[in-house]
Amino acid sequence: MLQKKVCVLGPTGVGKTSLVKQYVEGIFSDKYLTSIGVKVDKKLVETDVPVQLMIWDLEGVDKFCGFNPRHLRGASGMLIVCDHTRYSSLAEALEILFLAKQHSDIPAILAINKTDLPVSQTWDPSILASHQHQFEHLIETSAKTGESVERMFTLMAKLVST
Amino acid sequence: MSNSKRESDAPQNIDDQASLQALKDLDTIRQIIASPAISEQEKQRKEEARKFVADVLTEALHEREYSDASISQALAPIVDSSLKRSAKAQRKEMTDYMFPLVGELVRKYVTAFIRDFIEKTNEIVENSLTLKSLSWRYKAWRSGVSFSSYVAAQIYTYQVHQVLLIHRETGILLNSASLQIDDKHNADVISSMLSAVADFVSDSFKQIPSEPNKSEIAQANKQEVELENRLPNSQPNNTSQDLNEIRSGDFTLHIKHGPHALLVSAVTGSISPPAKTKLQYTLEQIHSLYSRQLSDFSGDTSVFAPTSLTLQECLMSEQKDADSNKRAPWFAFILICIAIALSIWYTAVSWQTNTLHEKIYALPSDQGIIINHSEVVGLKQINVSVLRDPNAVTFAQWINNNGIDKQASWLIVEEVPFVSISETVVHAKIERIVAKVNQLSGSESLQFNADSNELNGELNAVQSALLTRELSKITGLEQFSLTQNIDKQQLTPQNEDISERAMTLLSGEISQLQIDFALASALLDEEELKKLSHISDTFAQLVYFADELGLDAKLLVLGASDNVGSLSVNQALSIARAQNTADALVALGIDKTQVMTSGLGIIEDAPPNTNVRKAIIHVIINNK
Repeated sequence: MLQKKVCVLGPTGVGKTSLVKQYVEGIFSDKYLTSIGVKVDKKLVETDVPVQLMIWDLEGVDKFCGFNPRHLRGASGMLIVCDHTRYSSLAEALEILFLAKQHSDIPAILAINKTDLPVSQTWDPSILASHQHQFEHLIETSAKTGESVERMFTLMAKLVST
Repeated sequence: MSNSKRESDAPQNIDDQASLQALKDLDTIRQIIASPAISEQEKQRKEEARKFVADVLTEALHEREYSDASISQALAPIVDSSLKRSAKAQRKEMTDYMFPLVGELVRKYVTAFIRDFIEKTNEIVENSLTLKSLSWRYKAWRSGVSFSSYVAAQIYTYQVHQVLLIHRETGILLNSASLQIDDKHNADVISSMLSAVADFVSDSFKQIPSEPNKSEIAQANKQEVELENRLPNSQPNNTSQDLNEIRSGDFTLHIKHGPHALLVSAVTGSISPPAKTKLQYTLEQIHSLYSRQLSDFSGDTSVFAPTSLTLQECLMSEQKDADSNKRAPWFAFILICIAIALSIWYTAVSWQTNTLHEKIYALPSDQGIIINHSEVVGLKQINVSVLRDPNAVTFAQWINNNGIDKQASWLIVEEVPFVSISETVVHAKIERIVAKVNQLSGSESLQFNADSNELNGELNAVQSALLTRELSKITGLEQFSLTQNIDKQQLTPQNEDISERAMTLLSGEISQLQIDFALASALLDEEELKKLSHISDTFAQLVYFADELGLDAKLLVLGASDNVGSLSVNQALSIARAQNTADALVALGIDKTQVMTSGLGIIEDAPPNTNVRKAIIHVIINNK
């Protein structure tokens, strides 16, 4: 069976773990995220070729804590998550993408999460458009309602299995 | 055209030099065209290589196998798939080849199964019934661990329960082997987490390299060379620390690091150095055989499926006391022998009981005994409920007469009396009467012929009366045509004396029997009614003799009471006792006119502890 390692990265509090939880039923506690900085789950995706995604949910990145680049080793794809309601999260996500690409040049998908929440202020669409080429896909998701979550991981499975 | 000719005609100017070079090139082209084709050369080279390899192949294979056993490991999956393919394509031929072996295989399998069964039975007995096992159970309970875990810890020095082969870079599980099949569940996620933890530890305890002295450098170089020799493509990192061991409860995870893969073994107990070496060696073997697949790993784990056999070999264990298992399984033998003996005994006893039950149930009911109900209770007990005429033979004698030996402890008999009209019982009753009648005269004056149903004899009047009275008591006699050939003698003075003597005896017999009552009661209990029944029979005989003598016999029943209570109450009580007694006698067949009653009231001056709550019966004789 084909197995692929996929990393989920993003600023703190954008809903990475919630996205994974929405998609898989994990066996490990969330405490691993804060203790060793990562929690691994798996999900078999039935695309043309069945792919088992080993989803590495990495601890949130902020100005006090970066991510451990060793966790990116051997990954076939990465999911960068930002918060639709937090203006700064896009810039942070782009910075994380930049840092990750320095260690591992693998395809990435940008998940714009929390689309179920109303927004009073968000980023200029042109900023997003100018960075769109760095991502294979841009998907608006909601971990709360489950909107586009499965589609996003299916796209990821197709992306890493080709 | 020859070369020497061209050289002799060669010009001295530059154009001539160019021409010379052109000729040289042309010569080279001629040589190439004249030489064998490249494909031919390739063919020749292959031929030579084949001959060379063929010369050393056997020795080389043997030498490599002897050196690191890698040949058998590499060939195992190939042979496996070849056999499968061959068996599929040539099923019939394979069946023919295997046929002679099947019988032998089955015999060996059955033998092995029986041996295994006996050993396991022995193990179960030893682990369940011995003092040692009970002690272990107690200790396991105190330690809060399962009994099986405790036993494993006691029996095994160590045991490898699961082995995981993990791709080092991605943390993806390549293959695994486990003692229990369900342990493979989630092994892939655990492998990834383990890989993450290993990275975490490696980063957390990263060493900052210090300036090494010369001897340390030399030592380090030596170790590096050794490591590189053992693990190809190894890239030792001087600054990071590999996680080699994780302890959790009873389990220890031993992690062996290779350049591209980790071999993780879950072990209980203390693993031996040879076992550790074996794990390390296995990892090296896998790296050696799957070097390309490991370095170019793209997520397809199926290519590592053939490593299953190698990983299975890593599920090692070592027993603490190897001799204990080599002992003959006496416990099992004894247990099985006991079980067989018990089984035989049970079957035999059960068969015996059922046979006896069937025999008893089938007995004929023509001797005054009828089987009412019978059942087998437990293993060796038969409960039998029978109806039995008191004049019939005893139950034990009955079954003995029918060829059954009574086994007293097996048979629980409950007898319910009844009156039988079977011929055997009636004959027995007649014979008993005949004996009684003959007793009066002291001679065999009366005889009974059972075959012809005849009574023959010469009787005096008393004997005749007794005979008539006794025969009248036999129920069902009318069904038998009993012939009585009796010569009656007349009453003579001698007979009168006999009658008077008989009357005196019978009167005394009646007077001896006194009817007792409970305190303040005039009711007759069962025992007293029996006495009255006897009095009734005796009085009937007495009346007969009185008639013969021309006398009138009557009974006087006197009721009495103690001095507890008032005079009037006791007077009434004494009368009631006399009356109840008289009524009972009438009910038993005595004419009402022949019974008189009187109440004595309180019996004064009765000695202490003397029961005077009675009815006293006297015979009164008068001339007619």
